[in-house]
Amino acid sequence: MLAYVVRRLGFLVLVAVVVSFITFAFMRLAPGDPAELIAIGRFGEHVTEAQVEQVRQQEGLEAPLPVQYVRWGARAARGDLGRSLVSGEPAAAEILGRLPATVELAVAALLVSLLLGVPVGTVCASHRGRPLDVAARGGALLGVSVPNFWLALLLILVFSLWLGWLPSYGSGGLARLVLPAVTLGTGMAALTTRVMRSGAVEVLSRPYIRAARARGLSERTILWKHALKNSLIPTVTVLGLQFGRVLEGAVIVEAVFGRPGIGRLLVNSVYARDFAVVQGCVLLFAGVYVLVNLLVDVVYAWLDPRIHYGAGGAGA
Amino acid sequence: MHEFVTGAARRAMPLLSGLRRMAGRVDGALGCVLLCGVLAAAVLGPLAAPNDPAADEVSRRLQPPSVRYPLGTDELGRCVLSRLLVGTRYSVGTGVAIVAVSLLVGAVLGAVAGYAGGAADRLIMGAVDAMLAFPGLVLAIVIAGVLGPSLFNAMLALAAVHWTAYARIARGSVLSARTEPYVEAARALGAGPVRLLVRHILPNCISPLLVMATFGLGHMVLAASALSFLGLGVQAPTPEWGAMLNRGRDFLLVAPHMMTWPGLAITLTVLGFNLTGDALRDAMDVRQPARL
Repeated sequence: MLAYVVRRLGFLVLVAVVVSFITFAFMRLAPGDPAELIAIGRFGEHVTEAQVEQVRQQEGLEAPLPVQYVRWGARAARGDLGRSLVSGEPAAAEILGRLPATVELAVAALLVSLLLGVPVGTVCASHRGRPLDVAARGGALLGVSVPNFWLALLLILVFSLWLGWLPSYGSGGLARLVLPAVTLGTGMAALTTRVMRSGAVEVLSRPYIRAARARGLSERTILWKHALKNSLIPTVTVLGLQFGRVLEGAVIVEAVFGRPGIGRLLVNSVYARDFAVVQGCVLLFAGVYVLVNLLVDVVYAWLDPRIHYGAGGAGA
Repeated sequence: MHEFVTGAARRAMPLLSGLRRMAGRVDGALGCVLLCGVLAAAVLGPLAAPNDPAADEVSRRLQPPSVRYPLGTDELGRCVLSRLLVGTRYSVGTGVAIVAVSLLVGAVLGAVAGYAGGAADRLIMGAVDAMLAFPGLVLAIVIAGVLGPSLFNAMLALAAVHWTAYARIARGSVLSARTEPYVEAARALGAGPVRLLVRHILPNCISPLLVMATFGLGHMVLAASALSFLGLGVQAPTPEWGAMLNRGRDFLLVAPHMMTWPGLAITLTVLGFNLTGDALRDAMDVRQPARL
């Protein structure tokens, strides 16, 4: 198990290197002189040739691309991500300051997805093939097909503008969390429902369920007390996958709802070509995503003692 | 009996019968109907549009639906229905182009990795696994934003992220196909590696790739419209659905029709691809996750 965890952490380094190199290469090859952009950030709109040259020397921007990347990587490994072009603050501090709003959103969205997906999926499984099941599966398919930015606008229109029940902008407080979390959570609930349903269908066909029926237990007890727990295992395993959706969704949902989270910081930094912050966000996303998936695998092995990760059985 | 069927026909048969089984299912049929609607709008859009999609007239801006403008007008007085119809080509065409490029690149790299093995395999699949372990849309947003907002850059960014899915499938299929007796036979007859891959192995990997591409089309239509919505894709005045939705944001209360219809168009298109993909996967008996 320990060897497995160590190997997965090694994989995290690989992911971070590949993703940050792609970002790095695109950033540096894109039109526009990075030295000039930094100089503008530092000295104001009107910069002289000399100032640009000075920045180029200071920041080591005259070196070949691979050398620059290695230098950046060495600093990043020590936790120094450089300074934001926009605010002049250290990029790491900037990013960490935005983290709470995104974590809040991610947790709330996962909660919405579980609260919606687990019961619906379970009911579907017990009503397999009947109208309720077909309707819920259709709903789940619709759920993955709806663009979350459209859903966000529809929710704002109905619940903020027409009914006036909930605020549509900013962060802080439960009321401002509801609409973004529902937007993100319903899309994820679609996957939860599917996985939960197939898990429960499988569990319901097992002998111990038949034994429970033979003992005369009510269908309700069998479903919610005997089958539910075992059916949850596949749902737990896709939580890691779901987390990727949260990160992707956060970028869009935070933009629509004006939440000051990492996703919005990333989009704004991309617009401003704030290299240090973009790279920092990308590293954070990579780290969080890989670690969450590792955590899910570990929890999975703990939930189901038949699974153990031996040598050679890697996998992303 | 089956020995007498030619190679090409034998390869085509599971594909054709799979397609037929797919269309015979309720979800497959519904998906096909939706996709036919999308196709019709893409082909006939400019002809069917009741008005000139580019004709702006401030005096009739933000009008609710009427006989003249069935879905209302936008902030510049342009006909929303006409823009929606003409925009089909941009919104769906973008997705088709991304998937076509990704499929080509991914299938070739995946096939090479699976066939060659060794260092090439480790290099390609290392990159694929690393990229699959990162939320793709986030990387695409970074790439598209850095390259500068344009339709082409958005497509490039999404293709740069999307090809990995096909590479993994192609590699797996090639790995399982390369030891098949018919491949051994072709090799014994003196076929070179390129001929083996292109003529004998790849045609047998089509089903899983086709299923993946169907989901991929829905996924990419969604992702491309998301990039346009964020202002990183199609630029004004091109009538693309995501960009139209973005404009509608500022007029939610005054003119909700500006964002309702493009959103519905995206949803129905993506639903069409997802329904078809589901039916196709079950009909062709391809085992793979629905979407990544």
